This record gives sequence, structure tokens and C-alpha cells, in this order.
Amino acid sequence: MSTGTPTLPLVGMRVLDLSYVFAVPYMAGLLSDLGAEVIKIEAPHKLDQTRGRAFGPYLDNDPAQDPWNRSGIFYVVNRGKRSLAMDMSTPEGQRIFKELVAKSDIVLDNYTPRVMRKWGLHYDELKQIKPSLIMLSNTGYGSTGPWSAFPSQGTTLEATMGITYYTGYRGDKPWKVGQSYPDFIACWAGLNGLWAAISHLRKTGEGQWIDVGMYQLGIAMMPEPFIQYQLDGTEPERIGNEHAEHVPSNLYKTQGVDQWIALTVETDAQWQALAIYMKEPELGTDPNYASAAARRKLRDIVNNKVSLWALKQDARHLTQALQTLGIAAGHICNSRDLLSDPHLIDRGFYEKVRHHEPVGERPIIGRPYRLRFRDAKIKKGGPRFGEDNTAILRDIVGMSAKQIDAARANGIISDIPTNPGISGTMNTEMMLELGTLNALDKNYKDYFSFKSENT
Amino acid sequence: MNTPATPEQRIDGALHGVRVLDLSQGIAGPFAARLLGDHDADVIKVEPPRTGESGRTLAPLKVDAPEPEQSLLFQYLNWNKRSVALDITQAVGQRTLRALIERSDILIESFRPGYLDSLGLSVDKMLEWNPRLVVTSITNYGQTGPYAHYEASDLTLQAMSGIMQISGQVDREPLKHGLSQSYYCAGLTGAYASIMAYTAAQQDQFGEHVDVSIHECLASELVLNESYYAFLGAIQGRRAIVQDPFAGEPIATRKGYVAFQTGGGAPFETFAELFDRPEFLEKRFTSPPERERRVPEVRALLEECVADRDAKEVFLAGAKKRLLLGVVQGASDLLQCEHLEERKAFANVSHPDTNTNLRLPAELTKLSLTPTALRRRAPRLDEHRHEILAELLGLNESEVRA
Repeated sequence: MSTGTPTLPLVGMRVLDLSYVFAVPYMAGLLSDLGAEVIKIEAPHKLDQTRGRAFGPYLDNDPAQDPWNRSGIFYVVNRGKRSLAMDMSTPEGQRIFKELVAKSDIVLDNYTPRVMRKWGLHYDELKQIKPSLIMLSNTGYGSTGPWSAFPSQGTTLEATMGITYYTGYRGDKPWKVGQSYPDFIACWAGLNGLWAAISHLRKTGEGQWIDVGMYQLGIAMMPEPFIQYQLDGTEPERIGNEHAEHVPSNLYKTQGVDQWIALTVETDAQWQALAIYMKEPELGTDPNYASAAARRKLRDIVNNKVSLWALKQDARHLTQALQTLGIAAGHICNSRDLLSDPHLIDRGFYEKVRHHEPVGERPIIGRPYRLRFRDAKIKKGGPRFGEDNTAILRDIVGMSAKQIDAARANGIISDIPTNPGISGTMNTEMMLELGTLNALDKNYKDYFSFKSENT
Repeated sequence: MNTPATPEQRIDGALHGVRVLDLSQGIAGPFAARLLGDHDADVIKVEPPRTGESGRTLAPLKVDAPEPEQSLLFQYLNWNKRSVALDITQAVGQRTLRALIERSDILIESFRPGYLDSLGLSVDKMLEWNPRLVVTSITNYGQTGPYAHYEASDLTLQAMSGIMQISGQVDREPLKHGLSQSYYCAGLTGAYASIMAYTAAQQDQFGEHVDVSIHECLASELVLNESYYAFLGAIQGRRAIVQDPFAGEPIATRKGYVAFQTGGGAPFETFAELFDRPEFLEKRFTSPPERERRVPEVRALLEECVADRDAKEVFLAGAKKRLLLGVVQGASDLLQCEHLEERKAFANVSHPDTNTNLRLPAELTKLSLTPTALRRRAPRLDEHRHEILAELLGLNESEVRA
């Protein structure tokens, strides 16, 4: 049915998001950018870790009276959602949930498999209520198999799923990199399954259940070692930032504090151009360096020559200068660099989002793709804990004011967490001393003042 | 009704009947197109004649196979596809491409921005030919902005995305993820964004141009790092020289490495049981702020606890007690993993040209009604010219040779 204008694909769809932390909440947040009404259902007695001290950070490092409404990361992954703080472990909570399911299109959860079954809310039961329901359950290991009951989170799953084995400084132990990488793989892979199911639903009216096991997603991101191992019995070594074939391809320290340039030379012509730019043109033609095979043999010497030269260069200038020569290069960016990066600003990657006070206006990560004809965007800031309790029960479930009061009195819904756990400030002084924080900018808002905001 | 399917019975995937043209190269674009093929889309690879796309040279190679069929990585990235070679820089090839576009739903490409325009094959032109077409472009920095034409590698993308700045040790250089993670991340994003836009186009009859930036895919992972700055002005650095041993850092055992994290289904005191060490019941270890103050001490204790054990055994014992543990595993471990076996995460892929039969990761998520499947091996270059041109365009023998 054509509406006459390009339309976001999820307008008119309702999503119930029962999930915590990163992977599935982020999925649901990204669905809200595409027009869905997303209701996050939170437990009164068990706070989403992203609302708490474990992840933070609290707005200006101040937990204040309601720390659960001040956590930055929560607002990034839960943008655009409404919040219903309801106890799903009670029969009344389950009854209300089923009423919501009847009026929704998609349910997302990341409980371990036994929890939804125990509550009588497994897909088999929910589809009796709503035959066209799509449900996605994300767990560390999936709903079947000998490890399915194991608890998991991205931080340790990264090791188990294989990427860590091939990550690390040359000759050093395995390293984890980034922040909870498996959660993002799960977010994107889950969205693949979900969109395939939505496409099928639109054509046939049939819903289905998607069982996501994060562990097996990781292996799909590393076919190279599986192939190599089966081909000749060897495995790729940990080689830090280097490349097995291309030399030089590495990270080099430049002028200034903690400034670095990454560059990759893929062709001999690029090597010649680099040698000339380094004012050592003879390296470009000397048979000891001129060919890729020769440079691979002298890997350490090549790295050393580039290192010594790079130390006297400016990283940002090098990015541009080497790009002009057609060489892949890029400086290391920190969070301040990213939020003030001209390219990301030009593309509108961070969106200016208005939140409740005192959070106010903040830049929030948008989506890694642009649509030319459809206006995908962050609809609104993330919700305060339970902020839509009354409106959802009244407008969607159809409960009376008296029934809602009773639900509140019986602890079925709650406007504040009943067991918020400890809060507290982040020990920024200690972190600055350890180097796990590089800086604490008082004037940080100046760096994302949206001067070049996209229209 | 959900009647269980026998292995012989073909179950249509979610994208059955959807036609995808894959004009892309390397890893990201082809991986995205393959994921659509896994959902049963009819994916046609349009490649340059003679050499095929550059992904046909990606290592690991089977060097005794005929060129351009040596790349085993290509086989992984391109199963569930057919191949036709077209020279799209020439009028004849462009005419055929136009006819294919008119009969397709999604086109995935990864040329540098502006290249297709220079051939007279702009997205505008394609949408003129097929107003409901979804064109997905997967490029290093996207189609617009000052870096749109930047050269890039997995390394430089990880550097500029912010991931490396927070990875590695404070007193050492920033560290990248191993292998080629950027491109697989972008492949996942390119695939779901394509299905999303296709779903939208089916509904309102308007096509779309989806502009995926690999750089932004990586920057999208930094939800914590970004909020540190946007809510607090704090710039995260790398990891401490002595890391909190419950933050996932691999710790050496007698055999292999194990990783620990707090906050599973079991209380912290369970570690006392796991290691038969009462110290884990004391407040100096159980309280997170207390633990943070004595990281070296906690770490030493944990290292001692695992020194005489095997990583996988510790992992299994801890996980059964509902603790959050990980074990560092490589390809050889994963190929033998009892859980992945039970989940049927791998499929056997053989190819006559390389004379190989490899067990490779094949299933991402399990869809109850429309499961994904490996339906055909990767195509030889131009292997399906005749059937594609005859079936889609109704061309006869003499016409298809062009």
C-alpha cells in the first residue's frame, strides 16, 4: 500500500523490549529510529546494569538523588523508548504483559532460556495470544546445546568466541579489544534475523521466533583461521597492528602526547611514494625494499625506519598528506576527537537529542548508514525509570486509574527501583593517575556545540 | 502448520523470491550479499570478466587450483550466489546490467564513491530504471563528507573509529582487533540495512539508497566511550598495566587462558567454592570498591588459583556454577567444541576447483519458520551466464555471449 511518500518501515509497529545491557537494547533503540514504538519493560527490583554504577558514567559524575536516571550509556542504547517498570515475575505482571503482547508486533528478550519458560512467556505461549508475533531471544549460547544454561556477557564471551585468540601484541598473550565487542556483533546479526522475519511477516502474515546464540556469531567473523587451519594445520599468529602481507602496515607514534598514525602500504608504487615523502627516495627503488616480498623479509627494519620518521611528524597532518599520495592512513581518534570530527559532523553521525532535565541536550550515536529518502532519526531521549507506567497501562492495556493505583500499591509497577544497588562516583583521580582516563574536560560541551549541524 | 521438515525437504527462506545483484568487492559487500543469500534471496554476482572481483585473490589461497578460483575466503563470502561476468564499463555490459536491475530488488556495491556515476550508472539512473530498487553502498567512510575518498585498511579504520585508542595497555601502543573485523562488521550492517530498506520499499513503492560507512559501523560500538565524553567530559584511555582481573583480561592457566567477569547469575562468593579458597568470602574481595583499591592483590590471588588447572576445565566448572567466565579458544578448539557441534553452527563446504571440503561457520541466528541454509557453493567466475541471461532476460545462445 503506497502512502504517496517514502515512509519509515516500522511506523505503526510496537516493540516490547525486555532486555538489559547492550546487545538487544541497542537493537530495540535502532528499531525506534525507524519509526517503531518501543516499550522497555524493566524490573522494579533488578536495575538494568546500564542504569547503574557498573557502567555509568553518571551525568557529570554525580549520582544525585536518582542515579538510575543519570547514566550516559543508558541514554545511548535506549534512545527513543518508553519505560514500563513492571514485575514480570508476578502473575499480575505476566497478565498485563500478555495484554501488551496482544497489542504488539515484536518481543525482544535476553533472559536465559529457562526464565521465559518459567514465567509461561515462551514464544510458543505468546504466539497463542498473537499469532503474527515475531520474537527474538538473545542469549550467550542460544536456547539449545550443552552450554545453553551458562550465563554470559560480552566481556568474557569475546575470549570464548575466538577473536581474542588472534588479537594482541606480537608475541604477547591474547588481548580483548574494544568494549564488549560480542554485544555489537549480536546486535547487528540479530537485526539481520529480525528484518528477515519482518519481511516474511509482511508477505505472509506469519510470525516466528529467532534464537540468537552470541557465541556462534563470533566464529562467523573469523573464517580466515578456520580455513588456514584446515588447509595446512597452522593458525594465524598474534601480530599486533601489523598485516601478514603488507609491509609497512602498522601504527607509529608521532609528535605530541599519545598521538599515533596508522598507515597501510599495499602496493610497491605506494611504497615509492611514501619513501619520497619520507625524503628517503632510495628506499623506494633499493631492491631490498622495493618489492612487497622484500619488505616482508625486512619487516622490522622497515617498521623501524618508518617509526623514526613518524616521531617527528604531526599525526593529523600525516593523515591528509598520505591520503593525497593515495596511501591508506588515519590518526588515532579519542572520544573528544570523534565528537568534534569534521567528517562525522558533516554526515550527522552524532545526533543532537533533547533529554529530560537535568540531562538536557546531548549528542547520541546515530546509525552507521544514511537513507536518502526516509527520515531515520532518534525520536527522543531515553526514558527515566518507569516514566511511562501510567500512560502505558491506561492507554494500551486499558486499565482504570483505580486498577493502576492498585498495581502500584501491590508493587506490580514502580516509579523508582526497589533495589537500586550501590551508586557512587567514578574515581576519576585514580583513573587519571592509572592512565585509564586520559583527560577530564571541564569545558567538554564546547566540543559538541553542533556548530556544523546538518539540516 | 509447523510440520517438521525432513532434510530433503526444501524450506523457503525469508527472502525467497527476492533478487539481489552483488556488484561489490572484497569482504564487506560480498559478506552482506551472502547473508541475504543465506535467507534464500537469489543473489547474482556481477563481476568483471577475466579476473572476477578482487575478493577472488584473498588469502588463504589454494595455490594449485586454477585462477581465478584459488581463494578459499572467497568461497566463504560468496556461497548461495550465482555469477555472471559483465564489463560494466562498456555499453553492451551496461545494457545487460540495466536489464538485470529492472528485474532485481536490491543492488549491493562497494566501488569508491563517484565511480558508478562516472560510468553513467548513478543511483538516480538505476532508480529511473527500477523505482523500487534498493541500492546499498558499503564504503570505508560513506558517500559524503570530507573523508569520503580516503583510502583505508582494516587498521586505519580501527584507528580512526576510536576503538584502538581504548584498547591495549596504557604504556604501550593502541591495539586493533585481530584479523579483518571492520569488514565483517560492515557486512552485518549492510545486510540488515538492505533488508530493512527493501521491506520499506515493498510497502510504499519507493526505492532507497542506503549509504553504509564502515568507519561508522566501528564508531557505533563505542556506546560507553562516547557517553563518557558526552555526559562527563572524560576521555577513556587504554587498559591499566595491572588490570582488574574481573574485567575480562585473559589470565594464563596451565593450559590456555581463562577470562573472568563479575555479575553473572551467582554471587561473587561462589568463587570461593570454585577455587576452594575462603579468601573470596572476605569483604576486601567481595566489595567492588574494595576490590578496585587492591587490584594487584586480587589479580595475584586469581592467577594462583588457576595456575595448576586447564582453562577449559575452569571455564566449564565456573559456568556450571553460573559464574561469568570465558576461555580463549582458537580455530582448532572451536572446530571441536561440543556446543557448536550440537548447535550445528558449522557446515561442510566443498568446491571442485580447489578440491577442498572445509567446515566453516554457516549459521548466524536460528529462525523458527524460515531458517537460513547453505544452498549452493560459491560460483566460478561467469559460471551461470547462460542460465541467468536465458532465465531472466530470455536471451538465446548467440545473444548471451556478449
